[in-house]
Formats: sequence, C-alpha cells, structure tokens
Amino acid sequence: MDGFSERVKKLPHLGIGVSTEYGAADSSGSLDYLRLREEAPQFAGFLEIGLETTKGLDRYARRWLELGGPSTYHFLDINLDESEDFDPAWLEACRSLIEECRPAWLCGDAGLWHFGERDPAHMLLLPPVLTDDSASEMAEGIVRLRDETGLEVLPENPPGQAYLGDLHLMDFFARVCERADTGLLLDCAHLAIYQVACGHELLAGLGDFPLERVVEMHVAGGALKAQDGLTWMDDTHGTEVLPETWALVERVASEAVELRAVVLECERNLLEDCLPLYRDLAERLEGSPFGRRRAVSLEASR
Amino acid sequence: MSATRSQILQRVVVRMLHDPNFASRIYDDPARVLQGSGLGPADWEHILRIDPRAWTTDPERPSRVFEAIRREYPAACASAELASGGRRGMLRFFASVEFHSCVMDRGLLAGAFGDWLRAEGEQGRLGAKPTASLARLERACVDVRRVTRPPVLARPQDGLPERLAAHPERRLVELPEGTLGLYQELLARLAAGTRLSRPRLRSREREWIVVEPGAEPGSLRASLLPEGLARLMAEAERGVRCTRLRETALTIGAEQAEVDEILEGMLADGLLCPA
Repeated sequence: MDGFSERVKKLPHLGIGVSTEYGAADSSGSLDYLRLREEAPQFAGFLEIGLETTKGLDRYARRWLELGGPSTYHFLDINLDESEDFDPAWLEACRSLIEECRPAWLCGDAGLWHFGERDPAHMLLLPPVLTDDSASEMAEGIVRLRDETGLEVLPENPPGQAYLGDLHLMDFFARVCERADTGLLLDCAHLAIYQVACGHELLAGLGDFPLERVVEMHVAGGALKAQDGLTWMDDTHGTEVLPETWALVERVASEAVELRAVVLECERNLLEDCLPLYRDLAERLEGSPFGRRRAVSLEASR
Repeated sequence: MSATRSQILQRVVVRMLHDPNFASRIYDDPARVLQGSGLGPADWEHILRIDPRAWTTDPERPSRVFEAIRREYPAACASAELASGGRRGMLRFFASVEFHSCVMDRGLLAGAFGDWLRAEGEQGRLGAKPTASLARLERACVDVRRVTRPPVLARPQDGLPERLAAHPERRLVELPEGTLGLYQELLARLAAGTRLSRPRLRSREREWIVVEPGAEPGSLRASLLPEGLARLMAEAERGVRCTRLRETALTIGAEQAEVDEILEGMLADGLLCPA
C-alpha cells in the first residue's frame, strides 16, 4: 500500500461543507442543508453524516445522497482503541452504510464513544488518555478500520474538559498519525477548548505538528462558561465562533497544504443565521492553499 | 480480553463524571479508593493533575443517563418515585457498587440499574416490594430486548429431541401474585397520563411470568404461565435431557399419557427448544 503522502493525493477536494446526524434536521430551528445546497451551493460542498450503525441514515441524508451530494462518514459508535468494538455485526453494518453513502473517507472523534458494549445508556464522548501507549492503541484501531473498509480513516481530536495523560494533544495525534500513517481531522473548536482547559498557549503544540497531515478541519461556535471560579469553553455549535477558534483556523489553514474539506458545524441553527458565518469562514480561508484551490474549483463549476 | 491501562483510566473517569463523591475521594486518598483497580501511582497522577472542578462542568450528566435507563424501567421507576416523592433516590444508583462495578467490568448499565433497584426494594426502600417485583420483571425485559436470535436447531422427524432447553429468547420470572397486573396497569396509566397511586402487592401467593419478543419489531410480550409449565421451563433453563423433564412432569402431577403432549406443546409455544 502507498504511504499517506501518496494516498492523500487521491482524495477529493470537497470544499466547505455541512454536518448532520440522525434526526438532527427534524428539530425545529435546525439547519436545512438541502436548502443550503440549493441556495448557497458554495457552502454545501459535502455532507458529513454522523452515523450510528443502529440508526443509519435519516430521510434528509438519503435525499442528499439521491441528489448526488458528496459525503463523508463520521462515526459515532466505535472506540478505535478497543479491539472488542470491532465486532463482526458492527463491521457489517458499517460496510453496508459505506455502500449506501459512498463517502470520500471515514472520520470521527478518536475517543470513548461508549463505555462497555454499545447500548443507549452507555453513550458519551470522552477524549483519549494522552499517553504514548494509548497513541499506539489508537493507531492500531485506525489501521484495522482502514483495512476493514478500504477507506481512509481520519481521527478527530475530541472535546472534553479533563484530559488525562502526559502528552500534549497535538503530540499525541502526531504519534497517532505517524504510527497509523494517516491524516487528521482537526477540530479547531475542540483544540481551543483543550488549550484553555489545560492552561496552554493557544498555538501550543502546533509548531511541531506535521500540518500536511490535516485533511479535514472542523469549525464551530462556542461559549465561555464559568462555574465555581473555573472558566471553560463549551462546544455549543452555535453561530458565535470564538476568537480563539478563528485564530486556530487561520493558523492551521495557512500551512495545511493537503486540507481538502472544512465543515462548519452549525446544524442546530437556521440557515439564515448560518449564512453570514459561512461567508466569514470562506473569507478567512481565501488566502490559504485550501482557499485558493476552492476558488479554482468554484470557478470551474460555474 | 484484559483492559489496557488507558482503558482502565477511562473507566475511572466515567465513574468520576457520574459520581462526584467518588471523584472527591480519589483526590483525598487515591491509594485507598483505587486499590484493586489495576492502576498505580503514575496513573493516579494523571487524574490528580486535573483541576477537580473540571469533573463537574456537566452536572446534569447522571440525570440524563438515568432518563435513558428509565425508559426501560417505566413501571419500577414510577413505583419508586411515588414511594419516595421524586427521582432523587434513584440517582443514588450512580454511587452504588452496582454502577461502579458495571463500568469497570464492561457490564450492562440497564441491567445493573435493575439489579440495584430490586435490591433497594427488597431492603424496604424506594417503594419496597412492588418496586422490587417490577424491577425484576423489567430487568427480564432488558435481557429479552438484547438477546441475539439464536440459530434454530433442527427437531427430529418424530418424537421429542433428546435434550431440551428453555428458549433463549424467553425469560421466566417468579414474582408475587399481582405483579403482572400491576405492571400492565402502571404502563397503561403512564401512557394515558392519568394519575398514579402508590402501588401495593398484598398477596403472599406467587405467579410466573414469561417475557418474550412481541409480534411487532422491538416489542415485548409478558404473560402468565401456569406453575407446572413454569417449573418445567425453569428446570430446562440450561438444557436438560428430555427423560429428566418427563420425570419432573410426573412429579408435579402430570399423567403419564400426557407428558409428551405437554412437552410438545411447550416446544410449539416456543417455551422450550431443542438443545
């Protein structure tokens, strides 16, 4: 098999996109991404579908796919570092969803999606333990999932308020990416949350991270909250993107030469409220390698 | 498969996020609290470096998890709530041995909750006997919902199979008389949104209830079983020779001529299957 640096060249450039998960579009006040595709297709380059194998696709995601919209498969139910989680039934259901969606790649938070077996009351999302051993275990799971599905598997840095371990988050993911020889889905809002929670400088850890591994980026609104004197950042997915997140977006985009997809995670907001944010994001990315490639691609599609 | 250190650490984190007192106790005396967990001082240090306030940024987490579990125990939780004036008593589950063991051992949380609530009821708390009985019945429902359809073994062309077992998709529970009626009444009232009164179970007699998958996908059916059939099904729980079941049928009063007909009927009704 080719190495990541060769394989990444074969991945499509998806542009700026939108995310969803089962039933999300049914909630009042949520983003109508089918309308976004019609009215502002430049921000609907792809749909990132959050998938649990027990739920599958909802009717909106099916419609998107029927219309020929590109997609990525964001898993919500696999603990990559637990070999027990790769059970035959899950793998079969995962492959079946891949068959339906034909996603460009798989991605998802590399953390604890559920404790014990998959069961409704076991669902949560915790970040990985940031140690060298844990990075190896995570990398093993990524390679296994890639082998099982034949698709690239991009781990995402998960959110959290308590990160255990002696490695910086970016050091941890640098080791994961190197050992699994894979790319990264960097969630800039999650990274800002991490830096604040751990008392790090905003750009700490980025200097040593191989940003050419960043294939996808997430941008989302957040809010500063305080409790018992502790200030922390909440991952609200609202329409207010915090300055820390924007700073990370611009810094990463400026050097991420293989960045192929950017999701603005605003699925809980009305289209009219999201559009200014989409425009803001596109402007901030304009001068980056991603923005230049996107401009060419949009020009070609006119 | 044995858990790695990082997996054990994450399980401890899950417990800390659901049980703030447990989290506090770790900061006070990690060696004592984490004794036997498989973690050592270097692992505790990872936890102790975290600002303790970070564990409480989502104080509603136990409540949300409880609501997810409650969907499988509507009747038992209603009984406990009526007896104790609210759901606070049931949130003590997250401080229980059942909860903590379940997380560490990769158990089933819905199952652990049912076992805990039953024990609470049996000790006279949270609605006592009715809650304990309903928790047992709904615990059986939890199991049946999660049974993977087993492969069906072929039956011999004529006569009974050499070995029989209780059907793996069925659960038999022995409970105080009136439990099934109470369960059905509570479910009906909850569905209709009508007022509930504190349930009672006064009879000293017993009844046997079989829980099985219903006709609709995802649905369940609970029904009474005569004592004789229940005893045969209980005896066959882990698989038994057919000759042994015939003997049992005779000891509980069946006529020699009807024994095979009874067992054939239990096979036809899906209470037993070839083993």
